[in-house]
Formats: sequence, C-alpha cells, structure tokens
Amino acid sequence: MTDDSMLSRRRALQLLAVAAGGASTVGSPEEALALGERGVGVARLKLPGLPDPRPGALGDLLREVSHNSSISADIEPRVIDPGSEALFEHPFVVLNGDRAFDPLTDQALSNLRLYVREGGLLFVDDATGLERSQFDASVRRELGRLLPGTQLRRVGRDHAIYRSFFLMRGVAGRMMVQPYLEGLWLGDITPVLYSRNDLLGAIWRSPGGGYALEVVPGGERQRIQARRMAINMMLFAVTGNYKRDVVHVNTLLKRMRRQGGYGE
Amino acid sequence: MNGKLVQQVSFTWDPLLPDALWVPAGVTALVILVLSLRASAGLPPWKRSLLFGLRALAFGLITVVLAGPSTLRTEGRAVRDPYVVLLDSSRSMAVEDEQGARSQAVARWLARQEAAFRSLAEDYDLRFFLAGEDLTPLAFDQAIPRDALSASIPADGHDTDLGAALFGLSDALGGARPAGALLVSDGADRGALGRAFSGAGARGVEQLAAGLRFPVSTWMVGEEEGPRDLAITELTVPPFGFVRRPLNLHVDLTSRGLPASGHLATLRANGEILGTAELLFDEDGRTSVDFEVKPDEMGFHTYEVSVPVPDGDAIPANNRAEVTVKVIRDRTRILQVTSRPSWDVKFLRRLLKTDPNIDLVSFFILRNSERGGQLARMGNLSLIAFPYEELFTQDLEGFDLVIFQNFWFGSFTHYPDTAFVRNISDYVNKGGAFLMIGGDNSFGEADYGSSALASVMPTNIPASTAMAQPFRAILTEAGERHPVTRLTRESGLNLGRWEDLPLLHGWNPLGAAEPGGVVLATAGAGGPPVAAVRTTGKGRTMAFANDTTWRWAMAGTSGPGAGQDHALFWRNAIRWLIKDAEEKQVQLHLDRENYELGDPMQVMVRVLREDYSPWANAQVMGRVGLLGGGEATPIEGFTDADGQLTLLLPSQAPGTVMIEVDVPEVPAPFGHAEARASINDQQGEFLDPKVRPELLAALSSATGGKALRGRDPDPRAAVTRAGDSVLAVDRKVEALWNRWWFLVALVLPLGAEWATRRRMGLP
Repeated sequence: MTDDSMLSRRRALQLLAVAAGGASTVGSPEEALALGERGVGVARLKLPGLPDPRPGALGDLLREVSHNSSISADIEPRVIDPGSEALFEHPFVVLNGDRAFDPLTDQALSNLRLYVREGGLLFVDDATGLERSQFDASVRRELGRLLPGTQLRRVGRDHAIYRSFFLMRGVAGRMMVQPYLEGLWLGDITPVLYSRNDLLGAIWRSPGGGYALEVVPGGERQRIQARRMAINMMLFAVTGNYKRDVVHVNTLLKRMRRQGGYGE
Repeated sequence: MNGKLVQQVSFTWDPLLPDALWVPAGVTALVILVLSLRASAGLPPWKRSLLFGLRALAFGLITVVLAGPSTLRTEGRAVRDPYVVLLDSSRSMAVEDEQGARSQAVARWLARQEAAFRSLAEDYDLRFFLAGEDLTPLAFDQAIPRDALSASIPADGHDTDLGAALFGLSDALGGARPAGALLVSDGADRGALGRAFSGAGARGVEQLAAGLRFPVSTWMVGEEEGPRDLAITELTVPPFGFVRRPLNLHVDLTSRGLPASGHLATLRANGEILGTAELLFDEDGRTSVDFEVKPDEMGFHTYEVSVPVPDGDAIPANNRAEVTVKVIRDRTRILQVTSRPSWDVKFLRRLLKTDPNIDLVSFFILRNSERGGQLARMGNLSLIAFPYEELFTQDLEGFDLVIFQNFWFGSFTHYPDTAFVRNISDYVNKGGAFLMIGGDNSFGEADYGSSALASVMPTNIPASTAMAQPFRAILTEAGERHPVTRLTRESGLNLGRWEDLPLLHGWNPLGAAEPGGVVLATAGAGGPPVAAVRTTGKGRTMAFANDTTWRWAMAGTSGPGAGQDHALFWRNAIRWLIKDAEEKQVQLHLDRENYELGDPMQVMVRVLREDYSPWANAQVMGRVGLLGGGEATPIEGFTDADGQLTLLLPSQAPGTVMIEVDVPEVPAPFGHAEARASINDQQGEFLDPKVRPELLAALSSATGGKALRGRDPDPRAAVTRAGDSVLAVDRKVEALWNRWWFLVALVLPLGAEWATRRRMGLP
C-alpha cells in the first residue's frame, strides 16, 4: 500500500495541479517522459549533397506534437545515415530537400527496404515549391528502387493520415503544388508518404520564434492547416491506421456527414 | 420334422426351348401366318377364316408343347411350420404402469397361458424370441415362467427396433418362413417402424410392414395413459462452443400424470450449480428451458441438467441428462488501451492488427488534460470519447485479453477508478487474461500497487520511480523453459537467443513475486523482475515492466532472430495468457463428444516431432476411465507411418469418460493429451416410453395378423394360418407333351388344315 509519503510522481503531479486551482494541465509535456527513452522522436536522413533546407523544423514539429497531444516527444531530432544501424533506432524518418541528390548506396537502400518492411515510416517532403523539381526526380528514382514492383500512388481522403489527430479535408503546406499526398503501400500499410508542398516549411520557425517563411496562397489559415497536417503525420507515425478501426471510423464518418465534409 | 411321409403332385412348366429362341420362334410363326393369309386371298371369307384358324390353332398347340407342360411330384415329410412369439425386451418394458412393470405383466401372462402355448406347440413349431438389441431365442421352459407372481422377462435392451426383429426372423429360423408371429410389446419403437409411425402414422407402418411375408399378430402391454413421469427428453448443444462466448443449452422436458408446475431444472458443471429454471408444462405436458453458459477455457466441458424425482415418477433415470461440449477458440478478442501512444504501442498494435486470428479493439488516449496546445484548443479534432464505462463494465467479459499498455485511469477521468480496476481483477479471477506493459503511466507510476489489480498481478508493485538505464533482459531458470520466453524450440539455444536481443531501455521497478507468480526475466543479471506471469483464480496475468520491446522488431540486419523476436515473444505471451492450445505435439481426437451407452468410441492419437512431421512408431500409453468411477483401463499402442494411432474403445458405463494419453518420447508437458466425452444411458428407451397401440394395430392390419386385446388374451387367437407344410426330400418332374393323347391333339388341327387346303385346291 502507498501512503502520502510514497506518492508516485504521477499522482503527486496531479495533486499539485489540483492544489493550484483545478487547472487542467498536470505537469508540463517535457516532464512526461517514456521510461528509458526520451520520448517519441524523429530523425532526418542525411544524404551526401543534400543539406536540410528547413533546419530546426523537425524540432518545431515535435514541440507542436508535445503541446497538443498526449505523446511524449523527444524534441531533439537526430540526423542519421540511412546506411547505418542507427536507422533502426528511429521508427519515423524524414527525407527533405530542395535539390537533386545522388543515388542511395546499396547498403542504404538495403537498410531502408528492411526498415519499411519492419514497421518504419519514411516521410519525404519536397521543399522546392515547384511543380517539376530535381529533388522530385531524385525521389521518384530512389523510391522506384526501394520497393521494386510498387509505385507511388495518390493517398485517398479516407487514409488515416487525414484523421490521425485532426479531422482534415485536404493536404496543406507552405505551397500548394499538389493537392494530394502520394505513398507506397505494403499491403494495408503505407510505409512511405510523400508531400510536394513543403510541409516542414510551413511550421519552420526562425530563432526569434516567429514563422520563418510566408505561406502561400492561403496565408495563416493555410499555415494552421499545415501545422495540423504535420501533427497528423507524427501521430500517424505512432498510431498507424488506428483511426481506421471500425469503432473510430463509424464515429468519425457520422461527424463528417454532420459537418458536410467528405465522406458523404 | 417327425411328420409322416407324404406325396404331393403339382403342375409345372419345363420349357423345351432355351429362353433366347422364344422371340425368333414367335416372329417366324407370325410371318408364316401372315403369308398364309395373303396366299388365301380371293377365297370366300369363311374359307379364309377356317384355314387361318386351323393353322393358328396348330401353332398354338406347338407353342404349348415347346413350353414343356409337366407334373412335379414331391415326396417328403409333413412338418409343423414355425410360429414365433416375439417378446419385446427393451428397457421401456421395465417401465412401471399402474399394473407394475410391463415385463412383469408379460411374464405373468406367459405363465397363465402355459396350457395355450402347449396347445400351440402341438400344431406349430413354437419358438420364443426376446427382441432387444438382438434376437435371442428362448426355449419353451425358459420362456414360460414357473412362478407367475414373481416372474419377469429381461428388459435391458438399449434400443427397440421391432421392424428389424421381424424382418430378421427368417434368418433366425434358419431360412424358414414362419406361419405367423405374435409380437408382445409396448409399441415404443425407436427404429424404422417408430419413425414411420411418427412421420406418416399408421399408413407409414403399413407401407413398411407390407414386405413381411407372414402375418404378425400383436398384443400391447402397458397402460395407454402411460407411466407417471417427469423426463428430460432432449438436451441439445451446438457442435462446438467458443471460449468466453455464450453457449446455449436447450432442454426439452415432458411431464405425464404429474403437476404442471412446481418443478425446477438445475444446470451443473463439475458439481457446481450454474443455473436453475422453473418449469411450467403446457397442456400436452411439454416444456423447454434454455441455459446460457460462457465456458472460460478451451477443452471439453461437461454439463449436467437434472430435475428432481417427484413421488410416483416411474422412470427416475430420465430425470438427468449430461452432455459434453468441445470448446474451441474463436478469433481472439483483445482490448489494448494506452494513455500515451509510443513506438512500443505502435509495434504491438501492428503485430496484433496483422494477425488474422485476432480481433483487436484499441483505444489510445491521444489528448488529455495535461496538454493545452493552441491548435488542439481550436478544435476540429478527430478524437472520440473513450467509452471507458462500457469497456470496463459490460463489455469486459467479451475480451479474451485486456492489455494495459502504459495506461493510467487518471489520465482521462477524475471519476473514482476503483470500480473499474476491481472489475478487471474480477474478470481475471473468472477466467480472463490481463497484461500490463510498462511506461511512465504504468505499474507503480500509476499506483497500481495499491489498487485491486495488485491482488492478481504476478509481482508486488512498489511505488518507486521508474529507472531509465538500458539493460539486457536475463532469463531466470523458470524463464529458460517457460513457453512465454521460448524464442526457439531448440533446447539449449534459448538462453543465447535472449542474450543476442537488442538492449531494452528503462524499467518500472517490480517487487518480489506474489504467491503463484513466476519471474521469467530480470533487468540484468540479478536485477529486479522485468517479466513475470501468474495463474490466479481461473485467469492469467502477466507483467512486463518495460516499453521498448519495439526495438526487437527493428533489429536491423544483426542477430539470429532479427526483427522476429518481438513477434515471437508477444505471440508466446498472448497464447499463454489466453490458455490457447499450443500446436501440440501429441493430439487426441474423439469422433464425437457424446455417446449412447454401448457405442464404440473412436480415439485417434496423433504424434508429431518438433518440426511437426509425423512421428512414426511412437509408443502411446494411456488410460480410459470414468471421472470419479474407480480404476482406469490402460490403453497402449504405436503410431503408424502417418504418426497416428486409432483405437476403438467400448463405452461400458454411463457417465463422463476421461481419456488420457502420454507419449514418453515427447518431453513433458508436451507429451500429454487428454479428452473427455459423455456416455448416456437414459437417452433413448426412456425418452418417450408411452405405449403406441396404433402402431401395433397398423402392424397386424398390414400383415394379416390380429390385434389381441385385454389383459390375458389367449395366444391361440392370434393364429391365422395352418401350420402344416411338407419338407421335401425328393422332387420329380414328368413331361406331359410326349403323351400320345397330347400328340394326337397336336396332329389333328394340322391334318385338318392340310386336308381342307387340298379340298379347296390350294397348294
């Protein structure tokens, strides 16, 4: 049995919050850690000749996730070589860029192939804002090598990415180059998602705290949608197709119909 | 056979032509007749008719000659035909009516009618047979009791099939056809006659009995009102039951001559009362009740339904019925709840979701009161309310396994959670399975150590703070051989396989094992428990005090079980928790679960090697016996090339029979298998023992017999046909066609036809 002097950290935090006037917040997100890990994190794939066009944006994403969801996020993103064993330490990796890059090494390709088959998620973000970009050409070339026999397909509006946390009716990003996401499938699972709309650019903050880039053409309204999309991406990485479960789908479809959105 | 010599003469045909020539001969004769008719064209009609008639007559006589008319002269001895008295000896004849047991009434009648039977024996070869499961001949002195008061005939046959007995009489008489039969029975037939009577009434019986070639007279024994009886007539269950799913037991009952209410049916399993139901019979004395049970584990479940034996109940044996149901697992239903999604949650869910045998219901708390982000406050969330009240009350028992994965009630509700937690422990004690996986919202972090769950968890749960260091999970001695932690079936390699696993990160401190708890792995050598299991009440629990086993699923390219150990470990854990039948090396199958007493039980034992190939020539030793019923009978044998051994065992006594087999070459506990079945004896004869006078009347009517009436009829009144016939010792066939008078009769029309033609100037 536990007495007051042996209260757990969780219960103690809750009592503290109640004592503070019934505030709904119990502790800060940074205090809520997983056991031996610093929380759910994300890593950027480091490829030769492909600098990060949105340095710090992944940290901004993780902070958004921590602030808005129950997930404990490790707000320090990592940068990893896809050919290294470290790839398997991070179930969610991002490849973003604004220029062409060299073909992946055999080791990197083999690692990534195993990675997506074992449950990892790769999110690719084209930061160019161009309909035809060298980055896009490189991505399509490498994804064709990654899972031979599969090809990028449009992600339908019934995909869990559109409802993993926020209920969304479309894609968003800093630009609106392509009104949909693309993905690679392994059965029911989508281990690769690809955005052409510079999603990370919309949530990227400058050192001063403000947003670093303008969002066009929708302005701040579009940025809010992009922030939601980014959080959905992270939640999708953690919960998979959870939101496609029948118990959830039934409830969500009812709400969508009530709101007059898609799903009718 | 001791009759005098007699001679009988009868007419017969002994054809001179082979069968194959009759048709060509007939066609030839027809052609000749037609040609002769055409040759006589131009003559007056009377002349044509005369010529044609004479030739046709001649051809007719030739036909008769070719058919070989003959006499059959038979010499032999005059014999008495058999006359059979068929006594129903089925168990329904033991039913006591107002006049006592039916079998006793028959015995008294036989004794009183001794003189009549002796008289019959002078005219007939009088034979007595008992009609039970077989026809049993009785000598005259055996059949006629000396003491009418204390006499009785056997009434122990487990079935009544009067039709089979009657149609089998000729065989029983060495091929002789009886002059007739007198059937003494209550008419409670369960064979073809009874079914025909039930389906089509007397007409059905008449159609079936038309094939009997001797008259059958009948005398019905028993009161038409039938015995006073409260009976379970049928206890039906589905062919299979499913673990933790409702199983319906349907019971049909009848009541005759007893009050329509005031009776109680009771359902028991292993002596424990599972339910009762009040009985209210309709005007026809029929009613039915349904019991619903939820078997909590796989295997053979035996249920007994009984009703009390009221005063005057003539058949106590049908007041109880037993049935055994094989309970198998449907798709496994798992509830996974978490307060904080993580990689560990994702990978376990992915594993469960892709298993076609699992129905997974996941609830993740994606947002709670701890988080006040601006975007989430703006709404448009896709979140739904967590139906915790339904899940942890009425829905709980529908799940085979409940997983708390880093889950704390306080993260979503400020309601007192003690009731929900108590429900979980009750659910476990009643046969459910519970798994708690670590995290910052689990074990001591959520104060589960002071909750009702502590009473069912495998270890003590201290309130200490979680540790963050990486560690290697080290198997304990129990863990080295426990099915949960068996990552390889190759003995001696399991320990090494665990040593090769990626490190885990952080743990919830667990205390010492509770009574019945087994620690399988520790956080480092000699460290605190990190994996432990426990069987408690009827259920099982498991504690895994870490939330980073996802690393075993993404082990990269290294290690012998790279990427597979996560699935292996958690599948092992789930199978153990839900008491699933592992892919057993020794399997025992019965051809069914419920037998009538006397039915053979077909038992099939299948033995597999560790790689699941058939194990030929494996020694199988076992025993079969009634539960709580004395010594078991040993059984033994060797498997064939397919790894199978099939045995036919007798069902010798009613009750629940337990069959166990062991294969010494397969290490324990995998070398053992057992099965269970019910053997019923009251089913059948006592189900519906009322007399059926219409059936017996239809039988005698259809065969030309008589239906005797009264309590003491004279058996001679049943006789309808004389009993004398000749047993031939010599037969002689004498042709008639070669007699002179026959030839004269043949030549006359031919000669007349020839002479007439000559006189008419015809060729």
